[in-house]
Amino acid sequence: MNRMFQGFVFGCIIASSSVTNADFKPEPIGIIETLPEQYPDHWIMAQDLSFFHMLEGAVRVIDPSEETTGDQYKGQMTSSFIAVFEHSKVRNEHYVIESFFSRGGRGGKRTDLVTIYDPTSLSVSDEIEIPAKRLTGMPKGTQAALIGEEERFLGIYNFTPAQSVSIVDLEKRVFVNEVATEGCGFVIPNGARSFSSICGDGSFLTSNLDASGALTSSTRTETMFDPVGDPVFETPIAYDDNAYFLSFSGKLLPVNIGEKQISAGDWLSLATTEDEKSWRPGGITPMTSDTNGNVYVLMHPDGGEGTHKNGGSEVWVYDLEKKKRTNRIELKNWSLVVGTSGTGKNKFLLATNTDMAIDVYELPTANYARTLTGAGSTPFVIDGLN
Amino acid sequence: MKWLDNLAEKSTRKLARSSGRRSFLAKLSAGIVGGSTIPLLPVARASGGGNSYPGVGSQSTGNLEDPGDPTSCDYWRYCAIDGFICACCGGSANSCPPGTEMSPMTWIGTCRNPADGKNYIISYNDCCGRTSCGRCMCNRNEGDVPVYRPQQNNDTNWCLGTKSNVYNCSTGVVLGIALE
Repeated sequence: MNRMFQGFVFGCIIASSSVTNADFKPEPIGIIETLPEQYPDHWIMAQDLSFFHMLEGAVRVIDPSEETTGDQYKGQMTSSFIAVFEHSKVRNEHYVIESFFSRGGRGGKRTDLVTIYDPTSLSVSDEIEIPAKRLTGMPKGTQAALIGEEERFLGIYNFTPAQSVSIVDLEKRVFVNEVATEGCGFVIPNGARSFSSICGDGSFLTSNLDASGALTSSTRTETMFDPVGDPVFETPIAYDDNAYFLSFSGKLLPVNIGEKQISAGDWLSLATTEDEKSWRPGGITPMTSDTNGNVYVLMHPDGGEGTHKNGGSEVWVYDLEKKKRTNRIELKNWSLVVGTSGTGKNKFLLATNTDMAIDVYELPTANYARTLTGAGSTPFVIDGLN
Repeated sequence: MKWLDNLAEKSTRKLARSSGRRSFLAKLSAGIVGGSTIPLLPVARASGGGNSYPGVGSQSTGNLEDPGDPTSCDYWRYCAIDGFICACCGGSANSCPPGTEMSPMTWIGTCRNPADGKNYIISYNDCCGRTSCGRCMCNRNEGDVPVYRPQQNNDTNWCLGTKSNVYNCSTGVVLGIALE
Protein backbone atom coordinates (compact mmCIF):
# COMPACT_ATOMS: atom_id res chain seq x y z
CA MET A 1 0.00 0.00 0.00
CA ASN A 2 1.53 3.30 -0.95
CA ARG A 3 1.51 6.30 1.31
CA MET A 4 -1.07 8.23 -0.68
CA PHE A 5 -3.51 5.31 -0.50
CA GLN A 6 -2.84 4.79 3.22
CA GLY A 7 -3.60 8.45 3.83
CA PHE A 8 -6.80 8.16 1.83
CA VAL A 9 -8.03 5.15 3.82
CA PHE A 10 -7.14 6.77 7.14
CA GLY A 11 -8.93 9.95 6.09
CA CYS A 12 -12.05 7.97 5.21
CA ILE A 13 -12.03 6.22 8.59
CA ILE A 14 -11.69 9.51 10.45
CA ALA A 15 -14.35 11.15 8.28
CA SER A 16 -16.86 8.34 8.66
CA SER A 17 -16.38 8.06 12.41
CA SER A 18 -16.84 11.81 12.87
CA VAL A 19 -20.09 11.63 10.88
CA THR A 20 -21.58 8.68 12.77
CA ASN A 21 -20.61 9.65 16.33
CA ALA A 22 -19.11 12.98 17.22
CA ASP A 23 -18.26 11.73 20.76
CA PHE A 24 -16.47 8.61 19.64
CA LYS A 25 -12.81 8.43 20.66
CA PRO A 26 -10.77 5.92 18.71
CA GLU A 27 -8.60 3.61 20.76
CA PRO A 28 -4.88 4.32 20.57
CA ILE A 29 -2.74 1.94 18.54
CA GLY A 30 0.53 0.61 19.86
CA ILE A 31 -0.24 -0.19 23.50
CA ILE A 32 2.14 -2.84 24.89
CA GLU A 33 1.40 -4.34 28.29
CA THR A 34 4.03 -4.47 31.02
CA LEU A 35 4.41 -6.61 34.12
CA PRO A 36 5.14 -5.51 37.69
CA GLU A 37 8.81 -5.09 38.58
CA GLN A 38 8.42 -7.68 41.32
CA TYR A 39 6.04 -10.47 40.34
CA PRO A 40 3.52 -11.67 42.95
CA ASP A 41 5.15 -14.60 44.66
CA HIS A 42 2.57 -17.12 43.45
CA TRP A 43 3.18 -16.50 39.74
CA ILE A 44 4.89 -19.31 37.85
CA MET A 45 7.27 -19.61 34.94
CA ALA A 46 6.09 -22.55 32.82
CA GLN A 47 8.77 -23.71 30.43
CA ASP A 48 7.51 -25.36 27.26
CA LEU A 49 10.36 -27.43 25.84
CA SER A 50 8.31 -27.76 22.65
CA PHE A 51 9.61 -31.28 22.29
CA PHE A 52 8.00 -31.81 18.88
CA HIS A 53 9.35 -28.47 17.55
CA MET A 54 12.51 -27.93 19.55
CA LEU A 55 13.49 -24.61 18.00
CA GLU A 56 10.24 -23.00 19.12
CA GLY A 57 10.23 -23.30 22.91
CA ALA A 58 8.77 -20.68 25.23
CA VAL A 59 8.79 -19.66 28.88
CA ARG A 60 5.36 -18.38 29.89
CA VAL A 61 4.50 -16.17 32.85
CA ILE A 62 1.29 -17.43 34.44
CA ASP A 63 -0.83 -16.50 37.45
CA PRO A 64 -2.22 -19.88 38.58
CA SER A 65 -4.65 -18.30 41.04
CA GLU A 66 -6.84 -16.77 38.36
CA GLU A 67 -9.90 -18.41 36.84
CA THR A 68 -9.87 -17.09 33.30
CA THR A 69 -7.30 -17.48 30.56
CA GLY A 70 -7.08 -13.73 30.07
CA ASP A 71 -6.15 -13.24 33.71
CA GLN A 72 -3.85 -16.26 33.90
CA TYR A 73 -1.52 -15.54 30.99
CA LYS A 74 0.81 -12.60 31.43
CA GLY A 75 3.30 -13.02 28.60
CA GLN A 76 6.07 -15.18 27.24
CA MET A 77 9.72 -15.32 26.27
CA THR A 78 11.10 -17.49 23.51
CA SER A 79 13.51 -20.31 24.33
CA SER A 80 15.24 -21.96 21.40
CA PHE A 81 16.27 -25.62 21.23
CA ILE A 82 15.38 -27.29 24.54
CA ALA A 83 16.64 -24.28 26.48
CA VAL A 84 17.25 -23.66 30.18
CA PHE A 85 15.58 -20.92 32.25
CA GLU A 86 17.07 -19.18 35.30
CA HIS A 87 16.03 -16.15 37.35
CA SER A 88 18.19 -13.97 39.58
CA LYS A 89 16.46 -12.45 42.58
CA VAL A 90 19.47 -10.26 43.30
CA ARG A 91 19.57 -8.83 39.79
CA ASN A 92 15.86 -9.26 39.04
CA GLU A 93 16.58 -10.63 35.59
CA HIS A 94 15.41 -13.61 33.59
CA TYR A 95 17.98 -15.72 31.75
CA VAL A 96 17.27 -18.08 28.86
CA ILE A 97 20.23 -20.27 27.94
CA GLU A 98 19.50 -21.30 24.40
CA SER A 99 20.92 -22.35 21.02
CA PHE A 100 20.36 -20.98 17.55
CA PHE A 101 21.31 -22.47 14.21
CA SER A 102 22.19 -20.35 11.17
CA ARG A 103 20.27 -22.71 8.88
CA GLY A 104 17.30 -23.28 11.17
CA GLY A 105 15.96 -26.81 11.29
CA ARG A 106 18.84 -28.30 9.33
CA GLY A 107 21.55 -26.82 11.48
CA GLY A 108 24.43 -24.72 10.22
CA LYS A 109 26.56 -22.67 12.58
CA ARG A 110 25.41 -23.12 16.17
CA THR A 111 25.39 -20.11 18.46
CA ASP A 112 24.70 -20.54 22.18
CA LEU A 113 23.53 -17.52 24.11
CA VAL A 114 22.56 -16.41 27.56
CA THR A 115 19.65 -14.18 26.60
CA ILE A 116 18.80 -11.69 29.34
CA TYR A 117 15.20 -10.56 29.66
CA ASP A 118 13.83 -7.61 31.58
CA PRO A 119 11.02 -9.03 33.77
CA THR A 120 8.88 -5.92 33.42
CA SER A 121 8.85 -5.54 29.66
CA LEU A 122 9.80 -9.15 28.80
CA SER A 123 12.09 -7.62 26.19
CA VAL A 124 15.67 -8.72 25.61
CA SER A 125 18.01 -6.43 27.49
CA ASP A 126 21.27 -8.18 26.57
CA GLU A 127 22.88 -11.28 25.08
CA ILE A 128 26.05 -13.06 26.14
CA GLU A 129 27.59 -15.53 23.70
CA ILE A 130 28.91 -18.70 25.33
CA PRO A 131 30.75 -21.73 23.90
CA ALA A 132 28.35 -23.69 21.72
CA LYS A 133 28.59 -26.83 23.79
CA ARG A 134 25.88 -26.68 26.47
CA LEU A 135 24.09 -29.97 27.21
CA THR A 136 20.89 -30.32 25.24
CA GLY A 137 18.34 -32.91 26.21
CA MET A 138 15.48 -33.52 28.59
CA PRO A 139 15.35 -30.80 31.27
CA LYS A 140 17.30 -31.10 34.51
CA GLY A 141 17.19 -28.39 37.14
CA THR A 142 20.95 -28.44 37.49
CA GLN A 143 21.93 -27.74 33.88
CA ALA A 144 22.72 -24.17 34.94
CA ALA A 145 22.86 -22.25 38.23
CA LEU A 146 23.63 -18.85 39.67
CA ILE A 147 26.82 -19.02 41.69
CA GLY A 148 27.58 -17.13 44.89
CA GLU A 149 25.43 -15.08 47.23
CA GLU A 150 25.84 -12.04 44.99
CA GLU A 151 24.72 -14.15 42.00
CA ARG A 152 27.44 -12.62 39.89
CA PHE A 153 28.30 -15.78 38.00
CA LEU A 154 26.18 -18.13 35.98
CA GLY A 155 27.47 -21.67 35.48
CA ILE A 156 26.28 -23.69 32.46
CA TYR A 157 26.87 -27.44 32.09
CA ASN A 158 28.58 -28.47 28.84
CA PHE A 159 28.55 -31.91 27.25
CA THR A 160 30.36 -32.72 24.01
CA PRO A 161 30.63 -35.53 25.52
CA ALA A 162 33.59 -34.01 27.37
CA GLN A 163 32.12 -32.43 30.48
CA SER A 164 32.76 -28.89 31.70
CA VAL A 165 31.01 -25.81 33.05
CA SER A 166 31.01 -22.42 31.28
CA ILE A 167 31.29 -19.50 33.70
CA VAL A 168 29.54 -16.26 32.72
CA ASP A 169 30.15 -12.98 34.54
CA LEU A 170 26.68 -11.42 34.72
CA GLU A 171 28.05 -8.12 35.97
CA LYS A 172 30.47 -7.65 33.06
CA ARG A 173 28.15 -9.48 30.67
CA VAL A 174 30.86 -11.78 29.35
CA PHE A 175 31.82 -15.44 29.25
CA VAL A 176 34.94 -15.65 31.38
CA ASN A 177 36.05 -19.23 31.84
CA GLU A 178 35.46 -22.90 31.19
CA VAL A 179 35.95 -25.21 34.17
CA ALA A 180 36.72 -28.82 33.31
CA THR A 181 34.72 -31.33 35.40
CA GLU A 182 36.07 -34.61 34.07
CA GLY A 183 33.69 -37.48 34.73
CA CYS A 184 31.26 -35.22 36.56
CA GLY A 185 28.30 -33.16 35.44
CA PHE A 186 25.84 -30.43 36.37
CA VAL A 187 26.05 -27.24 38.41
CA ILE A 188 24.87 -27.35 42.01
CA PRO A 189 25.55 -24.05 43.80
CA ASN A 190 26.96 -24.63 47.25
CA GLY A 191 28.18 -21.32 48.64
CA ALA A 192 30.26 -18.31 47.73
CA ARG A 193 31.80 -18.64 44.28
CA SER A 194 31.67 -22.41 44.36
CA PHE A 195 29.63 -25.22 42.84
CA SER A 196 29.45 -28.99 42.96
CA SER A 197 28.95 -31.58 40.24
CA ILE A 198 27.70 -35.19 40.38
CA CYS A 199 30.21 -37.77 39.23
CA GLY A 200 29.57 -41.01 37.40
CA ASP A 201 30.93 -43.10 40.28
CA GLY A 202 28.55 -41.63 42.87
CA SER A 203 30.96 -39.04 44.25
CA PHE A 204 30.86 -35.25 44.10
CA LEU A 205 33.33 -32.74 42.66
CA THR A 206 33.50 -29.23 44.09
CA SER A 207 35.01 -26.42 42.00
CA ASN A 208 36.03 -23.17 43.70
CA LEU A 209 36.30 -19.91 41.75
CA ASP A 210 38.16 -16.69 42.40
CA ALA A 211 36.72 -13.19 42.08
CA SER A 212 37.23 -13.25 38.32
CA GLY A 213 35.49 -16.58 37.83
CA ALA A 214 38.69 -18.59 37.34
CA LEU A 215 39.10 -22.01 38.96
CA THR A 216 41.27 -21.88 42.09
CA SER A 217 40.89 -25.39 43.46
CA SER A 218 38.74 -28.47 43.33
CA THR A 219 38.05 -31.38 45.64
CA ARG A 220 36.40 -34.73 45.09
CA THR A 221 34.58 -36.82 47.69
CA GLU A 222 34.37 -40.53 48.24
CA THR A 223 31.51 -42.42 46.61
CA MET A 224 28.29 -41.44 48.38
CA PHE A 225 25.63 -43.40 46.50
CA ASP A 226 25.38 -46.36 44.15
CA PRO A 227 25.03 -44.83 40.66
CA VAL A 228 23.90 -48.10 39.11
CA GLY A 229 22.10 -50.03 41.87
CA ASP A 230 20.08 -47.08 43.19
CA PRO A 231 21.01 -43.89 41.34
CA VAL A 232 19.84 -40.45 42.41
CA PHE A 233 17.99 -38.06 40.12
CA GLU A 234 20.13 -35.16 38.86
CA THR A 235 18.27 -32.35 40.61
CA PRO A 236 18.34 -32.09 44.43
CA ILE A 237 16.28 -29.93 46.78
CA ALA A 238 18.35 -27.27 48.53
CA TYR A 239 17.38 -26.72 52.15
CA ASP A 240 19.23 -25.85 55.32
CA ASP A 241 22.74 -26.02 53.77
CA ASN A 242 21.98 -29.50 52.47
CA ALA A 243 21.21 -30.77 49.01
CA TYR A 244 18.63 -33.58 49.26
CA PHE A 245 19.00 -36.06 46.40
CA LEU A 246 16.16 -38.43 45.53
CA SER A 247 17.02 -42.03 44.68
CA PHE A 248 15.17 -44.19 42.19
CA SER A 249 13.98 -46.43 45.06
CA GLY A 250 12.37 -43.50 46.90
CA LYS A 251 14.91 -42.36 49.48
CA LEU A 252 16.38 -38.92 50.14
CA LEU A 253 20.13 -38.50 50.62
CA PRO A 254 21.15 -35.33 52.49
CA VAL A 255 24.53 -34.00 51.35
CA ASN A 256 25.96 -31.05 53.26
CA ILE A 257 26.92 -29.33 50.07
CA GLY A 258 27.69 -26.00 51.78
CA GLU A 259 30.64 -27.36 53.76
CA LYS A 260 34.25 -27.50 52.62
CA GLN A 261 34.38 -31.19 53.46
CA ILE A 262 31.26 -32.58 51.86
CA SER A 263 29.69 -35.57 53.54
CA ALA A 264 26.40 -37.42 53.27
CA GLY A 265 23.88 -37.93 56.06
CA ASP A 266 21.61 -40.89 56.67
CA TRP A 267 19.15 -41.90 53.98
CA LEU A 268 15.56 -40.77 54.61
CA SER A 269 12.77 -43.02 53.39
CA LEU A 270 9.61 -41.68 51.76
CA ALA A 271 7.81 -44.96 52.43
CA THR A 272 6.55 -45.53 55.97
CA THR A 273 5.30 -49.13 55.65
CA GLU A 274 6.43 -52.28 53.86
CA ASP A 275 3.46 -52.03 51.49
CA GLU A 276 4.54 -48.59 50.38
CA LYS A 277 7.94 -49.76 49.24
CA SER A 278 6.58 -50.84 45.86
CA TRP A 279 5.82 -47.17 45.20
CA ARG A 280 8.57 -45.38 43.30
CA PRO A 281 9.32 -41.79 42.34
CA GLY A 282 9.26 -40.89 38.68
CA GLY A 283 8.61 -38.30 36.05
CA ILE A 284 10.21 -35.71 33.83
CA THR A 285 10.50 -33.33 36.80
CA PRO A 286 9.65 -35.68 39.71
CA MET A 287 10.51 -33.53 42.74
CA THR A 288 10.00 -30.00 44.00
CA SER A 289 9.86 -28.16 47.33
CA ASP A 290 8.24 -25.17 48.96
CA THR A 291 9.61 -22.35 51.09
CA ASN A 292 8.75 -24.24 54.31
CA GLY A 293 11.03 -27.16 53.66
CA ASN A 294 8.36 -29.53 52.38
CA VAL A 295 9.48 -31.81 49.57
CA TYR A 296 6.89 -32.96 47.02
CA VAL A 297 7.64 -36.18 45.14
CA LEU A 298 5.65 -37.61 42.24
CA MET A 299 5.05 -41.32 43.01
CA HIS A 300 3.66 -44.31 41.13
CA PRO A 301 2.66 -47.79 42.38
CA ASP A 302 4.24 -51.03 41.21
CA GLY A 303 7.53 -49.37 40.40
CA GLY A 304 10.65 -51.18 39.29
CA GLU A 305 13.42 -51.24 36.74
CA GLY A 306 12.86 -48.60 34.07
CA THR A 307 9.82 -46.89 35.66
CA HIS A 308 11.68 -43.80 36.89
CA LYS A 309 10.20 -41.53 34.20
CA ASN A 310 6.65 -42.86 34.42
CA GLY A 311 5.26 -39.99 36.48
CA GLY A 312 2.67 -40.76 39.12
CA SER A 313 -0.83 -40.74 40.54
CA GLU A 314 0.18 -39.32 43.91
CA VAL A 315 2.49 -36.70 45.38
CA TRP A 316 4.12 -37.61 48.68
CA VAL A 317 5.06 -34.80 51.01
CA TYR A 318 8.18 -35.06 53.16
CA ASP A 319 8.85 -32.45 55.86
CA LEU A 320 12.60 -31.86 56.04
CA GLU A 321 12.26 -30.08 59.38
CA LYS A 322 10.36 -32.91 61.06
CA LYS A 323 12.26 -35.57 59.10
CA LYS A 324 9.06 -37.45 58.30
CA ARG A 325 6.58 -37.95 55.55
CA THR A 326 3.51 -35.92 56.36
CA ASN A 327 1.05 -36.46 53.54
CA ARG A 328 0.06 -38.45 50.48
CA ILE A 329 -1.78 -36.32 47.93
CA GLU A 330 -3.94 -38.19 45.46
CA LEU A 331 -3.76 -36.28 42.19
CA LYS A 332 -6.77 -35.58 40.02
CA ASN A 333 -4.79 -36.75 36.99
CA TRP A 334 -1.71 -38.84 36.38
CA SER A 335 1.14 -36.35 36.13
CA LEU A 336 4.71 -36.13 34.89
CA VAL A 337 5.97 -32.83 36.29
CA VAL A 338 5.63 -31.07 39.64
CA GLY A 339 6.39 -27.52 40.74
CA THR A 340 5.35 -25.14 43.51
CA SER A 341 4.82 -21.43 43.97
CA GLY A 342 3.63 -18.89 46.47
CA THR A 343 3.16 -18.40 50.17
CA GLY A 344 0.28 -17.91 52.57
CA LYS A 345 -3.15 -18.12 50.96
CA ASN A 346 -1.64 -18.22 47.49
CA LYS A 347 0.50 -21.28 47.81
CA PHE A 348 0.19 -23.87 45.06
CA LEU A 349 1.33 -27.28 43.93
CA LEU A 350 1.43 -27.46 40.13
CA ALA A 351 1.41 -30.71 38.18
CA THR A 352 1.67 -31.14 34.42
CA ASN A 353 -0.71 -33.98 33.60
CA THR A 354 -0.70 -36.43 30.70
CA ASP A 355 -2.75 -34.04 28.55
CA MET A 356 0.13 -31.58 28.99
CA ALA A 357 -2.18 -29.22 30.95
CA ILE A 358 -1.19 -27.94 34.38
CA ASP A 359 -3.36 -28.94 37.34
CA VAL A 360 -3.34 -26.45 40.22
CA TYR A 361 -3.70 -27.62 43.82
CA GLU A 362 -3.97 -25.28 46.82
CA LEU A 363 -1.52 -25.84 49.64
CA PRO A 364 -1.45 -26.96 52.37
CA THR A 365 -4.92 -28.48 51.83
CA ALA A 366 -3.91 -30.06 48.48
CA ASN A 367 -7.41 -29.30 47.20
CA TYR A 368 -7.66 -29.28 43.42
CA ALA A 369 -8.43 -25.75 42.25
CA ARG A 370 -8.31 -25.60 38.46
CA THR A 371 -6.47 -26.70 35.33
CA LEU A 372 -4.37 -24.37 33.20
CA THR A 373 -4.59 -25.23 29.53
CA GLY A 374 -2.53 -23.76 26.74
CA ALA A 375 0.75 -23.58 28.61
CA GLY A 376 2.37 -25.05 25.52
CA SER A 377 2.66 -28.49 23.99
CA THR A 378 5.15 -29.85 26.55
CA PRO A 379 5.44 -27.73 29.75
CA PHE A 380 8.11 -29.88 31.37
CA VAL A 381 9.44 -27.39 33.93
CA ILE A 382 7.41 -25.21 36.30
CA ASP A 383 9.21 -22.75 38.54
CA GLY A 384 7.94 -20.33 41.15
CA LEU A 385 10.30 -17.40 41.40
CA ASN A 386 10.26 -17.19 45.20
CA MET B 1 2.77 -42.94 28.07
CA LYS B 2 -0.68 -41.42 28.09
CA TRP B 3 0.48 -37.98 27.09
CA LEU B 4 2.00 -39.54 24.03
CA ASP B 5 -1.23 -41.39 23.35
CA ASN B 6 -3.16 -38.15 23.74
CA LEU B 7 -0.89 -36.33 21.35
CA ALA B 8 -1.26 -39.20 18.94
CA GLU B 9 -5.03 -38.99 19.28
CA LYS B 10 -4.95 -35.30 18.40
CA SER B 11 -2.99 -36.24 15.30
CA THR B 12 -5.68 -38.76 14.53
CA ARG B 13 -8.36 -36.10 14.73
CA LYS B 14 -6.39 -34.01 12.31
CA LEU B 15 -6.09 -37.01 10.03
CA ALA B 16 -9.84 -37.54 10.20
CA ARG B 17 -10.48 -34.22 8.59
CA SER B 18 -8.52 -35.21 5.53
CA SER B 19 -9.36 -38.87 5.07
CA GLY B 20 -12.36 -41.11 4.66
CA ARG B 21 -14.51 -42.11 7.63
CA ARG B 22 -13.83 -45.83 7.44
CA SER B 23 -10.10 -45.48 7.35
CA PHE B 24 -10.30 -42.92 10.14
CA LEU B 25 -12.27 -45.28 12.39
CA ALA B 26 -9.87 -48.11 11.66
CA LYS B 27 -6.89 -45.97 12.62
CA LEU B 28 -8.65 -44.44 15.60
CA SER B 29 -9.60 -47.84 16.98
CA ALA B 30 -5.99 -48.95 16.71
CA GLY B 31 -5.00 -45.86 18.66
CA ILE B 32 -7.64 -46.32 21.32
CA VAL B 33 -6.90 -50.00 21.81
CA GLY B 34 -3.24 -49.28 22.19
CA GLY B 35 -3.84 -46.29 24.40
CA SER B 36 -6.45 -47.68 26.73
CA THR B 37 -5.05 -51.13 27.33
CA ILE B 38 -2.00 -49.89 29.20
CA PRO B 39 -2.69 -46.17 29.41
CA LEU B 40 -0.06 -45.15 31.89
CA LEU B 41 3.07 -46.93 30.88
CA PRO B 42 5.83 -44.79 29.41
CA VAL B 43 5.40 -46.25 25.99
CA ALA B 44 2.73 -46.21 23.36
CA ARG B 45 2.49 -49.96 23.15
CA ALA B 46 0.87 -51.93 20.38
CA SER B 47 -2.00 -54.21 21.21
CA GLY B 48 -3.48 -57.22 19.47
CA GLY B 49 -0.98 -57.03 16.67
CA GLY B 50 -1.84 -53.41 15.85
CA ASN B 51 0.40 -50.39 16.06
CA SER B 52 -0.49 -47.79 18.70
CA TYR B 53 0.54 -44.84 16.54
CA PRO B 54 -2.42 -43.50 14.58
CA GLY B 55 -1.58 -43.21 10.93
CA VAL B 56 1.28 -45.68 11.19
CA GLY B 57 0.35 -49.06 9.81
CA SER B 58 1.69 -52.16 11.48
CA GLN B 59 4.51 -54.00 9.77
CA SER B 60 7.01 -56.73 10.48
CA THR B 61 10.71 -57.28 10.10
CA GLY B 62 9.87 -60.50 8.28
CA ASN B 63 12.75 -62.07 10.14
CA LEU B 64 11.93 -64.72 12.72
CA GLU B 65 15.26 -64.12 14.43
CA ASP B 66 14.46 -60.42 14.82
CA PRO B 67 10.73 -60.46 15.54
CA GLY B 68 8.46 -57.45 15.85
CA ASP B 69 7.36 -54.21 14.29
CA PRO B 70 10.16 -51.64 13.88
CA THR B 71 7.54 -48.85 13.91
CA SER B 72 6.18 -49.98 17.28
CA CYS B 73 7.51 -48.85 20.64
CA ASP B 74 7.15 -52.45 21.77
CA TYR B 75 9.82 -53.70 19.34
CA TRP B 76 12.32 -55.60 21.47
CA ARG B 77 15.42 -53.58 20.58
CA TYR B 78 13.79 -50.30 21.67
CA CYS B 79 13.95 -51.23 25.39
CA ALA B 80 15.95 -48.09 26.26
CA ILE B 81 15.11 -45.73 23.42
CA ASP B 82 13.98 -42.14 23.92
CA GLY B 83 12.89 -40.17 20.90
CA PHE B 84 11.20 -40.45 17.55
CA ILE B 85 11.53 -43.89 15.96
CA CYS B 86 13.47 -43.53 12.68
CA ALA B 87 11.49 -46.35 11.06
CA CYS B 88 8.54 -43.91 11.09
CA CYS B 89 10.64 -41.06 9.67
CA GLY B 90 12.13 -42.42 6.46
CA GLY B 91 14.80 -44.56 8.05
CA SER B 92 14.64 -47.97 9.69
CA ALA B 93 15.50 -49.62 12.99
CA ASN B 94 19.19 -49.35 12.09
CA SER B 95 19.38 -46.61 9.45
CA CYS B 96 18.76 -42.87 9.25
CA PRO B 97 16.34 -41.03 6.94
CA PRO B 98 17.75 -39.54 3.72
CA GLY B 99 19.53 -36.25 4.17
CA THR B 100 20.39 -36.82 7.82
CA GLU B 101 23.66 -37.83 9.44
CA MET B 102 24.04 -40.58 12.04
CA SER B 103 25.71 -39.56 15.29
CA PRO B 104 29.03 -41.39 15.69
CA MET B 105 28.63 -41.65 19.47
CA THR B 106 25.66 -42.51 21.64
CA TRP B 107 24.35 -44.44 24.62
CA ILE B 108 24.25 -48.19 24.86
CA GLY B 109 21.41 -50.39 26.08
CA THR B 110 20.95 -54.10 26.60
CA CYS B 111 17.73 -55.68 25.36
CA ARG B 112 16.49 -59.26 25.36
CA ASN B 113 15.53 -60.69 21.98
CA PRO B 114 12.39 -62.82 22.49
CA ALA B 115 13.37 -65.03 19.55
CA ASP B 116 16.36 -66.61 21.29
CA GLY B 117 16.11 -65.21 24.82
CA LYS B 118 19.58 -63.70 24.56
CA ASN B 119 20.58 -60.18 25.59
CA TYR B 120 21.94 -57.97 22.83
CA ILE B 121 23.93 -54.74 23.00
CA ILE B 122 21.96 -51.97 21.32
CA SER B 123 23.47 -48.67 20.15
CA TYR B 124 20.85 -45.91 20.04
CA ASN B 125 22.44 -43.63 17.45
CA ASP B 126 20.55 -40.42 16.74
CA CYS B 127 19.98 -39.07 13.24
CA CYS B 128 20.82 -35.41 12.88
CA GLY B 129 20.53 -32.45 10.55
CA ARG B 130 16.76 -32.21 10.18
CA THR B 131 14.34 -30.85 12.74
CA SER B 132 12.34 -33.22 14.99
CA CYS B 133 10.61 -35.94 12.99
CA GLY B 134 7.67 -35.74 15.39
CA ARG B 135 6.36 -39.22 14.58
CA CYS B 136 6.28 -42.34 16.76
CA MET B 137 7.63 -40.85 19.97
CA CYS B 138 8.86 -43.68 22.17
CA ASN B 139 10.39 -43.62 25.63
CA ARG B 140 11.47 -46.80 27.38
CA ASN B 141 14.01 -46.82 30.14
CA GLU B 142 15.31 -50.32 30.89
CA GLY B 143 18.80 -49.85 32.29
CA ASP B 144 18.63 -46.06 31.90
CA VAL B 145 20.44 -44.12 34.61
CA PRO B 146 20.89 -40.35 35.04
CA VAL B 147 22.93 -38.11 32.76
CA TYR B 148 26.01 -38.18 35.03
CA ARG B 149 26.56 -41.65 33.57
CA PRO B 150 26.09 -40.51 29.97
CA GLN B 151 26.99 -43.83 28.39
CA GLN B 152 23.85 -45.29 30.00
CA ASN B 153 21.49 -42.33 29.62
CA ASN B 154 18.86 -41.65 26.99
CA ASP B 155 17.88 -38.07 27.97
CA THR B 156 20.78 -36.53 26.09
CA ASN B 157 20.72 -35.18 22.55
CA TRP B 158 23.45 -37.33 21.04
CA CYS B 159 23.75 -35.30 17.83
CA LEU B 160 27.35 -34.65 18.78
CA GLY B 161 30.34 -34.94 16.48
CA THR B 162 28.00 -34.41 13.55
CA LYS B 163 27.80 -31.46 11.14
CA SER B 164 24.51 -30.46 12.72
CA ASN B 165 23.38 -30.78 16.34
CA VAL B 166 19.71 -30.69 15.36
CA TYR B 167 17.96 -33.92 16.39
CA ASN B 168 15.67 -35.76 13.99
CA CYS B 169 15.07 -39.34 15.21
CA SER B 170 16.64 -42.37 16.94
CA THR B 171 17.74 -45.79 15.73
CA GLY B 172 18.49 -49.01 17.60
CA VAL B 173 21.48 -50.75 16.03
CA VAL B 174 22.29 -54.27 17.26
CA LEU B 175 26.02 -54.39 17.96
CA GLY B 176 26.44 -57.82 19.45
CA ILE B 177 25.49 -60.35 22.09
CA ALA B 178 25.91 -59.12 25.66
CA LEU B 179 28.14 -61.14 27.93
CA GLU B 180 26.37 -62.47 31.02
